[in-house]
Amino acid sequence: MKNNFQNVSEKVLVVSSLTKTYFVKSGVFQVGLQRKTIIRNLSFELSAGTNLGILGPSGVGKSTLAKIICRIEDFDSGEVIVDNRDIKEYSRKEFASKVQLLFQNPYSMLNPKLTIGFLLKERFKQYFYLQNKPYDENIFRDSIEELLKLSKLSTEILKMYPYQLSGGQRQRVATITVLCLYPKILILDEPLSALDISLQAQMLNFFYEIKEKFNLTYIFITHDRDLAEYFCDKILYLHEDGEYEIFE
Amino acid sequence: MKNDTEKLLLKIESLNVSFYSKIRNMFYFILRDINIDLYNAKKIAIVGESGSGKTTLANSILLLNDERITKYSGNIIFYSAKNCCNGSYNILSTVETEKILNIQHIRGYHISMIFQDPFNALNPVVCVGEQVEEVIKIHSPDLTKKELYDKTLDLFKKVKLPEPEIIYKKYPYQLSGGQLQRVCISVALANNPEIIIADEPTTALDASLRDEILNLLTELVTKEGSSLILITHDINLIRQYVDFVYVLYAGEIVEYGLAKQIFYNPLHPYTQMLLSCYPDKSKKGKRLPTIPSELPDLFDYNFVFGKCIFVNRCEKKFSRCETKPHINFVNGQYVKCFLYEK
Repeated sequence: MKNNFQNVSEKVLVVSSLTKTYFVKSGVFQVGLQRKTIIRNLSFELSAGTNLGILGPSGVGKSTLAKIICRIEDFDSGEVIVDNRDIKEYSRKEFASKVQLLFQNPYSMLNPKLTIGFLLKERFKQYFYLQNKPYDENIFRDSIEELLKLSKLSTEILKMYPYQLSGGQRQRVATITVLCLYPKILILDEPLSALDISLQAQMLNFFYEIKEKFNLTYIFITHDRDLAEYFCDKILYLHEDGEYEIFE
Repeated sequence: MKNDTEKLLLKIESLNVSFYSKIRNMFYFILRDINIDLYNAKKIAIVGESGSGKTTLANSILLLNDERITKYSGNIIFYSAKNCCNGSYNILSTVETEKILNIQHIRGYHISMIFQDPFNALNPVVCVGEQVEEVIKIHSPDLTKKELYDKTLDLFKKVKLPEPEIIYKKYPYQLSGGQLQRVCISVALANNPEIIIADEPTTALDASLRDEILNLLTELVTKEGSSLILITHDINLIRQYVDFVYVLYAGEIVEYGLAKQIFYNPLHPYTQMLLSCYPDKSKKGKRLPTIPSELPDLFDYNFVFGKCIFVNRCEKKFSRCETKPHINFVNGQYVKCFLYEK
């Protein structure tokens, strides 16, 4: 297992004076374009192993911030530094093993026509490709077994299709597919809002376990204050006018 | 809860609902021995995990389960308060013609329902205003077009939709999830029903809209003097929004009582475990307790009818738990567990 974790106080993510504006349609006939600033002058730092919670009402730019850190969306000005390098300098290959995003809905993350085994294999092929290594079946089998053991799933699951799994299993499989690439930062976009409370607790424990194993840093997007206070060391609260607060 | 001034609206008596499974060629009991009383102007919640039969219970009240595979036994008695049909009706009445006449009249006029997913609840090719009008028109056919239009706009104002005249002409795909759920609430309120059943009204929506929609719903229900049956899996909601709570586990009610009492002093081991799973600041850094094992197999009749339903996951079990417990009354709460037997 890859382990490049040396210094606890190492800064994994530095965001400095980030600004993002959208153009929204305006006017009577929806033809005019109006500039709307969604993130204004945002700066924060995140050291390795710290969980950051992003809270705020809807439409405030929580998911936009996550997408910017994942390089899915571009930004206007400012700097985002992941692992001491600007995110724009990374090639796509390198960046995949730095930041990964786990979406809200595990149903839409897994292809319904493919078995879980096939899905995981595809992901591992990507991992080997990113490492510039030829595909090795043995390494794949060992890693999969370890990951399944960690997430308390049986190996029978590899032959199943996504519809045959329960909500909690599906969420865990989705997490494994993301972990295949051994990222440093894992962004969780409301991962628990569709689950029962008892499943929520199981998933939170699971997230803690993989954090220790993979030395992950979480960015946790949620609307639930109790949950954020339980899970996160640092909370970024976004306000509607582009202002923000950071609590430790 | 039982007070002489309060009027009983709905009484569910030893209700059993079973579904036919084609694969196993047998019936399995989704709900067993359900007893629920709903009084005038009260808000009750039915709480349970997924797979516990919450939605089946809601659907049974309006007979929305698939007729071909469903068997009911027991009574669902509805006491009408409106002038048009005073008296009591057994919704599960066996007389075929009587049942059909009653249920069509009851749906939407006496008891209405808000469904989980507002995106699928509305017809995509009819504008939303007409869909609200239709509900009013079916139950009061004498109204003119103008009156219907005005009533619909009033409803849209009630649910705080901005610019009701413009929303009236819009199609479901043009509205956001929150707006659609508001339209669904206005459909449910259209005929001032005595009972509104809200089946997880916020799970399909954006998580941050939850409080907004539930506040609106409870506020309107209080204002109109209706009763509410809120079905939810989020036990944290019950503290704020309802008076009385039924905890459902694998098709049985294991505990019921006043909402605050259940939230702060749960008695049944299942409710206690469920509440201890909830994350908050005081548990920071610690692992959360989880409920071990899984829901019982409903095809196993010996287990389902012979033993305490929670016995395979319970930490406090003892030898007596291999038999079926009765409901015990402790400190104003009803709990189905041997631990509280007198």
